[in-house]
Amino acid sequence: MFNRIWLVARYDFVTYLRRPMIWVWIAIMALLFWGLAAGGVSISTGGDSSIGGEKQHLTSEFEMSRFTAVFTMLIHGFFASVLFGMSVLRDFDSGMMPMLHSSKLRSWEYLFSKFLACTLTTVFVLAITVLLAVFFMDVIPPTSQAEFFGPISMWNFVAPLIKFALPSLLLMGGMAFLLGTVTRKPILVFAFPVIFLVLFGMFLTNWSPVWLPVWANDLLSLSDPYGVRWMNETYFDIDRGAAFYNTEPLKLTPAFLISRLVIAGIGVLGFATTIPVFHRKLKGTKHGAVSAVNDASSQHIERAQAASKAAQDGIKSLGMKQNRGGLLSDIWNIFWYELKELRYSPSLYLFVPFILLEVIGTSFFTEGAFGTPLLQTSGTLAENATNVLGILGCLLMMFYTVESQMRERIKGLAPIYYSTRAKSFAMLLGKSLANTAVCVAIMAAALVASLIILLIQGIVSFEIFPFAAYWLLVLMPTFIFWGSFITLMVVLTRNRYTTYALGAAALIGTLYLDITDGTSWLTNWMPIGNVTWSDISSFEMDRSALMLNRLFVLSLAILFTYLAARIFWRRGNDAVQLATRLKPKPIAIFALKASPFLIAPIALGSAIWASVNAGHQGDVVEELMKDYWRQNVSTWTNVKPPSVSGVDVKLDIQPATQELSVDAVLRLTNDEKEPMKSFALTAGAHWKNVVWKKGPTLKAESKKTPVPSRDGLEEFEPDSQSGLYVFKFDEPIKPGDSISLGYSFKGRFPDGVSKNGGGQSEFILPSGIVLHSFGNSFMPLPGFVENAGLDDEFQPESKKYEDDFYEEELKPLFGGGDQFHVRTTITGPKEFTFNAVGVKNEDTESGDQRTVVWESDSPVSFFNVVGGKWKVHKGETTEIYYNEKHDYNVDEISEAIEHARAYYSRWFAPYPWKHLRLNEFPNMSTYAQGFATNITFSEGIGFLTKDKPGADAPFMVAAHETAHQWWGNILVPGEGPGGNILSEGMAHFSTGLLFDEVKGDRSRIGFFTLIEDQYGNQRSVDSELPMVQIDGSRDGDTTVMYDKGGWVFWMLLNHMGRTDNLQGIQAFIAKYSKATDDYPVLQDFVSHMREFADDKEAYDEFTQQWFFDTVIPQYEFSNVELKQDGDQWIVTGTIKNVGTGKMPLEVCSAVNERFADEKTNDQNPEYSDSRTSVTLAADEAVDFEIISKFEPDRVLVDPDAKVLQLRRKRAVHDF
Amino acid sequence: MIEITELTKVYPGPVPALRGVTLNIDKGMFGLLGPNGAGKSTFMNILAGLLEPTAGTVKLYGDDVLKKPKLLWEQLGYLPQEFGFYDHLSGRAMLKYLLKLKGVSGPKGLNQLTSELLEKVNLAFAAKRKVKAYSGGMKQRLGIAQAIAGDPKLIIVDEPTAGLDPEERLRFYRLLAELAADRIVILSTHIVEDVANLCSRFAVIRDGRIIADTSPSVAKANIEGTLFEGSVPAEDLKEFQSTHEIARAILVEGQNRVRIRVADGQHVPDGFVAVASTLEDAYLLMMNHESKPQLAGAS
Repeated sequence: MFNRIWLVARYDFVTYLRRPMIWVWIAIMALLFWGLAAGGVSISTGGDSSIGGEKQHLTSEFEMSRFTAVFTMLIHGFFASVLFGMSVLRDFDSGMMPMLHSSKLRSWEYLFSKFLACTLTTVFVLAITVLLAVFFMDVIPPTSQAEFFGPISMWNFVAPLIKFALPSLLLMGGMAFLLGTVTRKPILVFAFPVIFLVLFGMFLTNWSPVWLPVWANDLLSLSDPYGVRWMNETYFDIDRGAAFYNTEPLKLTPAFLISRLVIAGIGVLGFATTIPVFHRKLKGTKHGAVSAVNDASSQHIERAQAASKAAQDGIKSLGMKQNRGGLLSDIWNIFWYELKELRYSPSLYLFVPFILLEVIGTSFFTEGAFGTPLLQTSGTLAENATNVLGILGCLLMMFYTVESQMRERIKGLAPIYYSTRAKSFAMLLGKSLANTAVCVAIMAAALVASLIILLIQGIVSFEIFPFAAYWLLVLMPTFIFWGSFITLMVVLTRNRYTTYALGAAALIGTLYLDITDGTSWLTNWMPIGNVTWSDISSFEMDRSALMLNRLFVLSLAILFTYLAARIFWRRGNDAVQLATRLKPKPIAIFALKASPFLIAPIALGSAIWASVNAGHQGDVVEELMKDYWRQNVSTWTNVKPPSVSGVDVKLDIQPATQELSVDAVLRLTNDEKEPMKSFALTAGAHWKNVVWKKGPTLKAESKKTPVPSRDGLEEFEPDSQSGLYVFKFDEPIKPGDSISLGYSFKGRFPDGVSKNGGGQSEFILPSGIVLHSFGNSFMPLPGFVENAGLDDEFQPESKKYEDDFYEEELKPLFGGGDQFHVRTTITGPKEFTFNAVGVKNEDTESGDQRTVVWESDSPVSFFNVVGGKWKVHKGETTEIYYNEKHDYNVDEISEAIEHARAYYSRWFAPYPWKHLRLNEFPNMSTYAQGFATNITFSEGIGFLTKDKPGADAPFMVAAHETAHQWWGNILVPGEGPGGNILSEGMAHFSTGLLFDEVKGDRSRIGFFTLIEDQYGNQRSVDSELPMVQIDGSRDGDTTVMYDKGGWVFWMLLNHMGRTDNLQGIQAFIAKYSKATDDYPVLQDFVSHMREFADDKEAYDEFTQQWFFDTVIPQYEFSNVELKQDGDQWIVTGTIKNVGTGKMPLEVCSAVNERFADEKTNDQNPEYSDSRTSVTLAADEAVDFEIISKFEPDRVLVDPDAKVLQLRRKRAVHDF
Repeated sequence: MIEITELTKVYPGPVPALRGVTLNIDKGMFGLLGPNGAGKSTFMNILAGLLEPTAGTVKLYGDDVLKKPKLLWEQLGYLPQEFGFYDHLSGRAMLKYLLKLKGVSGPKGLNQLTSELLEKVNLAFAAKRKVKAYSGGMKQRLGIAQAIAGDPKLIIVDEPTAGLDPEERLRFYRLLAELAADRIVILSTHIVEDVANLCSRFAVIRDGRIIADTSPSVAKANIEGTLFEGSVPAEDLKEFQSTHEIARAILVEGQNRVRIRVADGQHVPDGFVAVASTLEDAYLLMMNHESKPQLAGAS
């Protein structure tokens, strides 16, 4: 028996080693390890090699475990599944089965041998990967990466394979073995690891919504077959320092160890299940065959007699005819057969639910601003579903196309099928169309799923148009193109595995290029994620490019199908004849014959190329910007421009044609200490027919007039240097003096199509207008823009700042500096409403045009212009301009900005402007901007935030954005590390305060624990910098700026006391909002606030750890006991800070839920708690005792959410 | 008629499979005989338009079907030596699908025609059964049904009776014979008796060359009166072989029953008696002694 098993296993093992797949697998691993060693490949959990100190060694067990888990997920899992899954299937296909089973080999011996051979092969490959890792990291480690390589220990390489790779590969291998043997469907074997990866790899490893209970999170950690989630939760979520990771072994917890055994056991169980099923199948086949023969024998005589008579009647009596048939009838016959064939495909019944699960899952869990859930509309559902269906549909089509085109060969029908008179083109196209129909069926199912989501949501009504538009315009041409491409690959390679490899490479390559911005409308055949949905604007942005792109891919599909039909393998080629055909002349003749099919792709491709090239991101503009940089960088980089001290701008905006005419005058002031002989302004590339006018020099006092005068302007010809206009003066502008500068131009904005779709932050579209002064859409930017014209890879690193950089005068983070008055006159179609900063002084209609005049009632630092066809919601002191489809959250948004305006004015500084408006714009880019008096929200922010009971999400978003009227406008932060935290962190802090004031404890605790959770999930564990060093350039900086910033300001308020803290903030704003030459960063804030702290020493200790160090507490209970003593209940235990930082902390025993329900802030009358306070430094533990008059059901820390910490939900002990 | 001229096929290696085969095949049943590996299937695949030759031409009623295989497929019924079907389809559904692809129609509709064809090959009883439950013979009959369907001007059948019981074999031959009356039927087989019974002409192929192109009667006549049979002890056979032209030798009860060909004027060994010639004798002599010029090219 053992000999037989070993004989088969050994033969298979040797055979596998000869298969290209194994060596492709090894080659991929070699490339990956080479990339890792060279630094080109990274698996990031946030580590940043630019941070100084000891580096985490790639050779440590922790790093190798991380690599192993990720490589198992992405690479090993796929190859191992195919290896195991195809093992028995190949024997079925090759017809070896009867011979194998007429030998002494028993079923289980055969299967065990197969499984053993696959296991040995997998172990062999893993062993080779260890050697490769050692080779690249020890034998030839790149010297540039030396600090990332520690001492080599083989155990560091082998242990991760045992702990992480083998259990999951046994699981996947066992299941694939079962799947392949039982179903005998290669398509399922290939699809299995893909589904497994999406389901577990993409979802299970990091899906962690705020509301997920701790037990569910633990269960997910243990269920993750790759172990990535468990590793992150156990070791990587808290930074233990490079020394720990470099030297300590990665210890498995007992629960995880058991989970690994269970996972491996499930794999073995999968294999074991194969044995009886396989045995039954074999017996069943024989039985069927025998019974068929017996059946035939038993009825033999009667049938023979009857048939004999039939045969004697002669074949001619049938009157058969054979017609030539038509192409269409051939296509229809094959299409219809293939379509019916799909009913027998079990993979369809697995794929469709899986894809629908993905569609529904992504729709339900899509997050908007600040991690808030989004309200789904038909459009957003169609967009989400398109992204999922696009990629998974292409994968599905690849599997189906390859299997269906190869079916006749595999089944042995090829000689009969190919010798029929049916046309080759019909054979290829009929199958392709049927496979495309699979995707149509899935789209229909996704449509039903979307309808169900909308019904469950119960708020938004169903519309068919977005689905029809997305799926007919985006998906169908993509599927048709992809089907034709895969068909051509099958025809060319004549090999299903090679085709799978090429198809996967094409798909991955496209996605990679798309992510890295390497595609354009010309090359992006799958414009998923490039076509942004808006309920307000239906594909208005880049519409012509999109249409051309779709026609282009369809024309390519026709070309590919033609080529496939021409070189179809219906007749086996002769090598000599083939060599003859590959000579230049036959190839030229072939190309000539194919030329009619080339005309459309060439024409359409050229048109796309030309329009992209001429577009606002095309080569023409790119070259212009490069010239701009080359010609001006040396001369103008450090030349300070004049500041804008007044603007009077007239805009004529025609949304239908996207045309813009500008006639403006700026007052520019020399704020420098030296006379200014010349200055430069940067205009937009879309500016045409530019005319400049210069006015007289104005004395310093004239700066105080509201807007510049147009009197005395005369045409002026500045030097034009590739978009930089240089103004030189015979008589320099004296310090404090100004000049008036007029300009006018015409243009389209955006000018032409983009390179590859995606978002635009400013635009003029038929459905809406967004323009602002941060760019040069209608107003020149003062000075030279340093990074303009540089390729992404040549962008300079972020500026290095000295520790005391803030002591010098800092430039403003936003805008040009001085606050100024602005008058904006806008003319456009009368059905539009046009809003700008300030107050509206005029609104007149003339013909079909409207003209409005807005003027600032108090100076602003920057300004914007928005237009749309809106409804208006008027509050007491605020207005909301919104699209009529999006009235879901208007009341709550209005409540938020009304309260925000009132309370922020009281807490921080009086609101200096009369109006406060909030405007919705089409979702061409998802962002909100708080311009003075004129806030803009894209539709995906706030208006489509899902307002679940108790979540207060629209309130939160609106409160945050309104806070920017103070934190960003009234107080403009300085440029440099710690600057933006004064804007974003303070806006979050303000939101928390407003929740506390307006909504109460439940909402405030909910808000702070929400952003605490986001900080815990998104921070860069091992490379987070102190807040004073955060400049937004690193991964994880965003959550520090927003979430940690908001928390720390909240903790500071609690630390200093509300009165002192708010007084300090008011004084801070008063001080810096009036300054004209220095803008503050966090260090200025900390220094300023110290004066308002009662206990300076405690203040210093607090600010040192939270602003200047990186700390994060995490608390754990142990030895918790509950005792009754008379009518008292005593809770004792130990609380330890296993994180970092030192904070006072409340420990609380409680009974019942604190709040009556999720919808209100009312305290539950049944709730009671009793508290004690402790102060814990890092790694410090203290015993505690809490006495209460009630029997508590739990003990927890920080019940009022006053200490930022990790894993708050775990710092609870239930009785 | 089919005119095959200098048909050559060389597989990469190089492995020559056909070496300048030239044949003219007219209406009626034409047999192709040859041992395994002689090039029969390569030849049949080329004739069926499924394999491109290295050189040579094949013309069907004057049309060069190597250049335009579509012209061939429009009038071809083909039963390959090895084939399969879609396992999960019923025999009826499978046949109907193939009839559609072939553009075959009947006066009473396709459903009726499918049923009648299944009856012709004695598969009506299993029409609704899935093909995967068919025995080898049943699959072969289904293959025959599709090959004879329509009104093909050319029918190529490669080892068609493999797996058929004698009764089915006879039934099939009856069908073929009927069809051969007004069209070309090419039958590749290793069963010499089938050729003898059915074919008016046949060719013998060996090592990629046609070594005989004749009729069964001529082939037999050529050796008539020259065959003798007797016993040779096993230990003497080798020496006997070197001195006599042996058609066949069969071991019967420890003695080799040997049939030899004795040319005019040659001595007939003792104990050998004259026997009637068969086509199988002619075929075996051709196989064993290719160089006999009087056989090649006879017609």
